[in-house]
Amino acid sequence: MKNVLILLRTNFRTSYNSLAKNKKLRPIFAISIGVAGVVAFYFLLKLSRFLYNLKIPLVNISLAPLILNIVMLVAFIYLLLGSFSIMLSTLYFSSDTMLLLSLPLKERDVFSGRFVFTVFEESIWLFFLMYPFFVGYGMVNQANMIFYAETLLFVLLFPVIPLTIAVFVILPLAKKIHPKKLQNIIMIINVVFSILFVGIMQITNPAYQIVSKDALTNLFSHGFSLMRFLPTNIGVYLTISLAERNILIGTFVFTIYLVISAGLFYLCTLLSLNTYKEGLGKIRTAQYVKIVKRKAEKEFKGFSFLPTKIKAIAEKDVKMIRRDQKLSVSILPIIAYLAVFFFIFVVVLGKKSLGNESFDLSSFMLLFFFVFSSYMASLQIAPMLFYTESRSVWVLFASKITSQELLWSKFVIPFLLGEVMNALFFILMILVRHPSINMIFVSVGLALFLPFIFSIIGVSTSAMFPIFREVKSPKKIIPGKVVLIQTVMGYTMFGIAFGFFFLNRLLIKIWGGTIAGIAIFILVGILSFVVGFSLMFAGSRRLKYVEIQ
Amino acid sequence: MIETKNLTKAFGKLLAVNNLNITVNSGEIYGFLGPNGAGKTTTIKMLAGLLKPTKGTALIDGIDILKNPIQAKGHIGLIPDSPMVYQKLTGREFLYFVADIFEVQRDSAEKKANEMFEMFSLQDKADVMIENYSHGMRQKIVISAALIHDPSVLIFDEPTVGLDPASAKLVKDLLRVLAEKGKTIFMSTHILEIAERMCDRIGIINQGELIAEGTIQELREKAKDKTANLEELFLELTGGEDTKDLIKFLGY
Repeated sequence: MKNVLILLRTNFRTSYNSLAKNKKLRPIFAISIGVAGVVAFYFLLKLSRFLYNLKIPLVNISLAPLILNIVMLVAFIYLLLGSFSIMLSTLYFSSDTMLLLSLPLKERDVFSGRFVFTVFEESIWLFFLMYPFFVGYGMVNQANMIFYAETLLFVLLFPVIPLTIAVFVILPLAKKIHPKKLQNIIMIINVVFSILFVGIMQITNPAYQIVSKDALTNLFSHGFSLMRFLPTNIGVYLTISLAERNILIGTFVFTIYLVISAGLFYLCTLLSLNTYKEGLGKIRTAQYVKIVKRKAEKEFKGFSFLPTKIKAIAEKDVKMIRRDQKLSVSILPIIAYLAVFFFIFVVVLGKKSLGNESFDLSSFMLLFFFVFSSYMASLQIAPMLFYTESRSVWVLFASKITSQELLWSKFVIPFLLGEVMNALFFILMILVRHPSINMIFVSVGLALFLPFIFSIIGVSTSAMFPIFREVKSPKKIIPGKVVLIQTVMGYTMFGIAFGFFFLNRLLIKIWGGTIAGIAIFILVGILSFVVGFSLMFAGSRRLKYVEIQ
Repeated sequence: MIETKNLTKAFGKLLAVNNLNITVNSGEIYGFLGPNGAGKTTTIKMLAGLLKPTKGTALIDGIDILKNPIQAKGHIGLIPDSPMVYQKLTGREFLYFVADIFEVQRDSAEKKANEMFEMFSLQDKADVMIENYSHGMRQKIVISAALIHDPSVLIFDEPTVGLDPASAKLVKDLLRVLAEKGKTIFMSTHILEIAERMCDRIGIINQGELIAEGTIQELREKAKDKTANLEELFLELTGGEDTKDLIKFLGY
């Protein structure tokens, strides 16, 4: 127990120190995070109170239990899906693993320390995002202090069950399969599950049905009938009992929950006795996977038209995407999301033909789709490819390559991917929607030029913050400032697309559909080239030296 | 040839390298020594064009690394202290990639790569992904990559770290052969025995300042101790002599 506490204290200290390099800034960051949490808490509290006071007129039922259950279910599913990756990283890939193994510590203590700290980390965001719904419920029902205290403990312990479920799966598997391989398998399962989940939701509950009043009532009634079978229902019983001042029943339910959580945790620590050490043993050597000699691959000739250096880097990146499962898996959801959005915007919403010259909301959604598709395929991938150079970036910067060449080489893949996606969706749009000439010109303009400008934004803004480091997840490889700038620029582009939509409407009235379409096409092209080349020039000027962390 | 002119790098208030003036001639092996945090790696990064100097510059074969970085880098082969390379490429793919960036013809790169694989006994691992390599094998592939474009200047940061004794000897012999061929070799090392036996001249840096430079003989004369070995000279010049008393005091 003493060792577990020492490990926990070290984890807290490390987390606090990692808030900022500058010692003086750490409390400021901590307070800022706290303030942001309080703001979120306050907003959600207001929202929950508003929702609890709502009643569905047709069935005259309160939304409160359903909302509570939905909040808990969403948190539970999110935690359960995420907990496999979280526990795997925490248990096997923490940077202090080797150090801890060399110390006179039992594996069970190391396991317990890490598990408890993970529960704490997950509890923080649950407190700010989930607890307001409990507080709101208590306020609406004028609950007493026992309600607030027990529900707070319930929320803080909420991550225990999903995390233990993950541990029960991971520990025995990591004994047989190398944790690194297991991590990739779990990522793939998560992505496949998410895609299937979206697909099933789409089939069983098509978006266009929700707008029907009957369907809405059915949805809520259906929700109520399902409620009793949901795994998080124990939380709802606990909350309702306590709010209704049935303290004995509420506390009894809470005690059952506590016993289940503690029991599962204890079983996990027992399991760790026989399994954790063996899994850890697998990651002690560099040669963690079976060495496979690669057969000479058929050389990829797709980039033969490019200059030698740009071609070399682009081809290298293609190989990295194909071979690095972490990278390919993080690109896969982007394509999956695009397919789902295309289905909603083009197939579901596109029941009627766009043969006429007027622009309605449905047409705008279609244009919005090309902006969205370019944003996802080009702007999301460009910085990821730029920063995946990671600490190996010295190879490029010690070589005979200009910053212009480097940036254009990083531009190639996101640009081509965006173009291919847009071309594919454009063909489908033609087949499904039968658009007007005006619509074709405007769509082609956006589909053709937006991947260009979005890819350039992706690489040029990355070049302005050339900080390369080694991280566990490709998502974390992009510096926060770059994510922020690119998000703002992405929204700006959406705004511009909105402007084009109204400009097109105006031009249709003046010149007619065809000329208006051609004008928009030319305008988008000119703007893309002017802004794109300026940004590329600015990016390459900044990218003279890099920081390798 | 390498020539630095008042090469200076400051990180905020910390002066990591201060007015460094050194010249390394063709065919010469120059050992760059200094205690931890003395400014060795910072100097190497500036020489290789990875870090912008705060003041001063460096000339590589007469080309200013600040004014013409691309042209200067074409003359350099860099071997950093930690061999971070693309894990998902095979050794052969990595060498071809570097060759492409340095615009080496594929035929020539293929010939050179095979020579390197043979020299470092990596033939069996040439088509295996680098993630499967040990630290020493990665170091070998980085050295191979640095030589693939036949640079006239070689910059080594701890050349033998992670290598087994046989490979370390191979690298040492290779350095001598390259120097005899007229290459300029600049290397930083902590292993004083290597520096003493291999380097034509030695520069000692401490707290960002070049505190001594010359052949072993010249350093001995400077320290007024004609029998001292490099370790003793190094400790005397860098103020590490106190450690001897400390070790004695601790009873070791």
